[in-house]
Amino acid sequence: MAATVQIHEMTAAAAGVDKTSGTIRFKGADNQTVDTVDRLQIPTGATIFSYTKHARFYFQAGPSVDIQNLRCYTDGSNTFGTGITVQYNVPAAGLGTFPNINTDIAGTDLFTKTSGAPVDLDAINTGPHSGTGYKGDHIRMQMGVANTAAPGQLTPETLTFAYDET
Amino acid sequence: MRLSEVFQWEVEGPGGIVRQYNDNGSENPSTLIPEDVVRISIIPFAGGVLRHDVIINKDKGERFVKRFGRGIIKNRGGGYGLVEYLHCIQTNNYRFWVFSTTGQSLVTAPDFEVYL
Repeated sequence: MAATVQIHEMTAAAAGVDKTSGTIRFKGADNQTVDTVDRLQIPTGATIFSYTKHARFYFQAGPSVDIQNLRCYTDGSNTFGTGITVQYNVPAAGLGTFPNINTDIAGTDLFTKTSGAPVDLDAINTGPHSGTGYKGDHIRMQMGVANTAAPGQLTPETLTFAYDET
Repeated sequence: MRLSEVFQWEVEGPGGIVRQYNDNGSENPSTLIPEDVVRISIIPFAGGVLRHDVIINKDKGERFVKRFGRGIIKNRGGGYGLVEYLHCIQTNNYRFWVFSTTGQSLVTAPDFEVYL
């Protein structure tokens, strides 16, 4: 049968929260709860940063052969508004070596990664992947808020994940 | 029915016809599809979508390369889930894609990647 593939927000190198019924919220606390507390405060001075968010593929049911070409991408358009950015990187050891932090990770603008040039999520933990469990690389993301940002709740952006199953 | 199971593949070659799922429910992995198949089909499990057939013209130098499924996961509003599952048949000349949500097909160059 075809695999059942989920996206998890990670709490450790190989443990996380299933996001099949939930979104990922950038916030000022290191937890995976999607709520309205721990909001990011618009600074009067330098840009502030959310706690990092790690996401990873999880195979709840494995493929009949294997899965490879793990990718993720945006639509290329940041509609969060002026002064709000999202940066990312793919740390080699995932959350095991890179705990969530709220200081600048100096990553790449996530919205430069589109379907034409997606983030490669099996560059370090290379495929083909089989069986069940966490597979591929972590994507580590962080929101930045500059003093030019406008207050209010943001309209969600979509991060798309893709995989090839044999 | 799960989106990834709307269709299954079927191939015809010198050894006869082989389907992804046998009558007893057991599965044949697509890595077993031989390179000398002459027909590869994407057929529906149930009604509502049409079958698609690809004929390999070996006399013209065409050959089967691989078959795979591509899952596309997006935030559906309340969480991340499969929003599309594409079946792809790749030959040395083209890729033939079938969308599980609509049953529509698309032909691209053999190195073209369809992401939604």
